[in-house]
Amino acid sequence: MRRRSRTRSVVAGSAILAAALIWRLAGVAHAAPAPSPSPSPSAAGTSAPTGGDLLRQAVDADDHVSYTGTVTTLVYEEKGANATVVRVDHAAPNKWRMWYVAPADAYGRLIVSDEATTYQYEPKLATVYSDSWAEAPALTLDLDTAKVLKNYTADIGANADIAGRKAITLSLISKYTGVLAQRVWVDSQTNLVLERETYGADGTIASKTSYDAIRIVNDLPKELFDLSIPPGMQLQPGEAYGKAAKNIGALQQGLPFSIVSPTYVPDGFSFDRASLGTRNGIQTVQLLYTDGLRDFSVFENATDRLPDLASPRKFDVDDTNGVTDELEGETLLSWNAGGLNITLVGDMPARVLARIGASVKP
Amino acid sequence: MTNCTDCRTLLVDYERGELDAARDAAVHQHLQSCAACREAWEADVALVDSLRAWSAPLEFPTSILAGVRQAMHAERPPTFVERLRAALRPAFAAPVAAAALLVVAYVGYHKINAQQPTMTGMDYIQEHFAQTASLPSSDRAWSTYVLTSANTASGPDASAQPNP
Repeated sequence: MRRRSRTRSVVAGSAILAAALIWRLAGVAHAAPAPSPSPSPSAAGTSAPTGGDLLRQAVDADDHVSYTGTVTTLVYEEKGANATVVRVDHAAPNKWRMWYVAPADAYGRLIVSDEATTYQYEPKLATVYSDSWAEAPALTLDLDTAKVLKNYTADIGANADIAGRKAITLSLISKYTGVLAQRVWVDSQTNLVLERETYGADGTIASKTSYDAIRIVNDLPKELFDLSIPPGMQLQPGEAYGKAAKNIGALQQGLPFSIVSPTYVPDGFSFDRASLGTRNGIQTVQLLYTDGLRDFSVFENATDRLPDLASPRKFDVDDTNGVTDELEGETLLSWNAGGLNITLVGDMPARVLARIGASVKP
Repeated sequence: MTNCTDCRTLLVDYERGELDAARDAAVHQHLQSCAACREAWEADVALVDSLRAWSAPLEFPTSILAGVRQAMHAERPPTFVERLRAALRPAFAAPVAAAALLVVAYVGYHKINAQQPTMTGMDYIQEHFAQTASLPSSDRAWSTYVLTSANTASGPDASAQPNP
């Protein structure tokens, strides 16, 4: 019995949608002006926004709105739930300062980023890590809202009050399975996402992120975002991750094995990007597939060895012995075939990953 | 020296010439004057001479001499080949070979394992997060936590168990 059992039924009736649209228009018309945001055309009340409009505005809101607040994230797993509590200062469009209050192993960790360079301050280790992943293409690629809207219907739902602010509910429902994949509460004034719930393929909740408190501001002191090394701390390079590429063929050169792609992916998924990284001296290829909201990675390397896992469970893939585990809200499925270790990671059940895995034939 | 008792006690040493000069002179003088002691001394000399004459021509039998020579030859230090041959006797070589094989297998196993680094589950998770952090489904605070944990000793890898 999975612990993430809070199944949400999807209610997307036309009456609710109409009511939400009326409320949305009324809310926009009567909302007090925000201190700093640059309101989008729809937020200015020129036309009734669709769910797609609201989604596009929500994913762009960070570029226009500065704020300070506290955000709590809960990630549900079979073994329980993990939580982070972070105090966030954001100066639009790209300055971030995040101070971790929880979990205990991250307490005091400070992240300062301009989305090109990210410094990770670890007071306990008197070390500042310069993280290269912030420079990876993954963080600078445009969000593919077109793909999301191709695979999901975006339904505007009931209004709500989140952290003392009025919000509009937006439900994203799979066009293939009819299952609710994500629900977001969008600030009616600034379009910031104030709360977000993600759901597994079986309808159970996977994660919840919400602002406990948030204050929209015109500006924040520049000193908050200084990328400097305090006295007594030393700068070190952080963990290096593979650089993304759109072309698998570009990664094949020099590899001691042939990259194999899955011939089956679930409805709506398509290849997004590939990368080649080296960890522990092991060259590993990663193929990323997404439908816009959900995603999974196919990892391949020539070790022919299963990864070390915290709680491995046997799970066969196409009559081959494999193992599965759940880590940080993601499912991992790994097996060896044709001299390769193949590992799938995604926010979906192991049985779905196994179907994909069965189509990877080295 | 004036009496025969002292003289008779010293007669053997006198005959071998082992007395100091004073005693040698005293015994010599007593023998000149005492017929009984001189007769006893001459009897001793005659006995010794006869024994020496009897033993002089005798030799060890050939078989004994051959045995002695053979024994002397057998007691020489063993050659390298003889030592090697002795060391390779099954009773000694088998356990030594088994122990050597065990050592080679143990060292080889650890050497092979040391040469084959393994990925952990968290390695894959973090690589996945690095590529998906920009997707609408991702959460900035959570993704950053997972990614930055890779840099710290207390990262989520700590509880990983090696797979066989």
